[in-house]
Amino acid sequence: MPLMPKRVKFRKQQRGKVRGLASRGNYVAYGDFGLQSLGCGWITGRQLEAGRVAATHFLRREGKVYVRVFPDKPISKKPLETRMGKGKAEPEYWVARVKPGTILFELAGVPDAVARQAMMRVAHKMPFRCRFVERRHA
Amino acid sequence: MTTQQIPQIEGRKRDLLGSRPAKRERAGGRLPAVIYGHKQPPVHLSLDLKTMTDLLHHRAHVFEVKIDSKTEPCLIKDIQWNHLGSQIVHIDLARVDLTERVTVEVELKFIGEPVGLKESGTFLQRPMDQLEIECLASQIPEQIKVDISNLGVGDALTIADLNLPEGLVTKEDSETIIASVQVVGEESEEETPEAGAAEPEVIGKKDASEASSEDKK
Repeated sequence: MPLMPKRVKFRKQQRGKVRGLASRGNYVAYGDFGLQSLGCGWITGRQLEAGRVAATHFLRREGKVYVRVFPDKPISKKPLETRMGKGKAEPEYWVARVKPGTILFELAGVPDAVARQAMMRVAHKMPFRCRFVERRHA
Repeated sequence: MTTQQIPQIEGRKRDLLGSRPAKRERAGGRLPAVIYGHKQPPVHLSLDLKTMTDLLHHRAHVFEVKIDSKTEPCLIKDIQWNHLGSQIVHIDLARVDLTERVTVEVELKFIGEPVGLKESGTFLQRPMDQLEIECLASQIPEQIKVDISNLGVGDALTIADLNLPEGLVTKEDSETIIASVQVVGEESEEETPEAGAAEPEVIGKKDASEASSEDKK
């Protein structure tokens, strides 16, 4: 099952907007390499799961994959052929809000070349343009 | 551990402050900076970006800034990066006396290949790559070398295991782990199918039975 919260305070949320640039979660914190988003928007739990599976499959269980974002925003969707109105629809899926600069995935325990290839495969599953980054020593 | 020499960098005072003049400075290859501390008024200045980047690559912490024929030893307090972490946007410098004790973050340099990494499915976890230390401003090391070659699978190196040189003190908890060799957990390669419309529990929401019993009361 795709990632989603275990407990929430409210079932439904307003849409909101993704404004600005990432000022947190924008550096590689756990692994050696990362995949950084260059665009902004929503990423669904299924897209994150697809990225994780792509990386794990390519690495053949070598190295550690970290998912740095969590889909905690419920998105509701009206059923097909339903008239408008009658209140807000039921939550359909969950998304994470992503700003330019957000690190989406991290990798540890694999060489540079392998990490690049794995992240390239993950990037193809992402709804934004992404770039490969290395851990920065301040 | 090697103690670094004090390099010098030339600064130019900035008269126009704010984001737009700062942007113009950056476009001209300069780096906006501020010097403060020692109960003197702050000075806004710009530094040569390339020289400053070179200094940072050489892990300089303290350097002398020359402004209008006056030289001040300064310590890097904060570095602001852009949202992609690819470019330095601004730098904070604090006036420092070379004989005073300062608190700085020094890079941890891991040396050697851990024994545990020879087994398949293991990786090196590094929760820390910098250590906050207190020492004389003139004795800040470029990096602290940490030998991790003896780490086996499941072993962890803590701050207590570090052999800090004389004069260096850290206020971090001695039990804090700086490196460990971990086994990669069994991660599913398959996408798990969606199990219907699973919904998370709503905090504070009463069950229907509870609510009806309260209504009867």
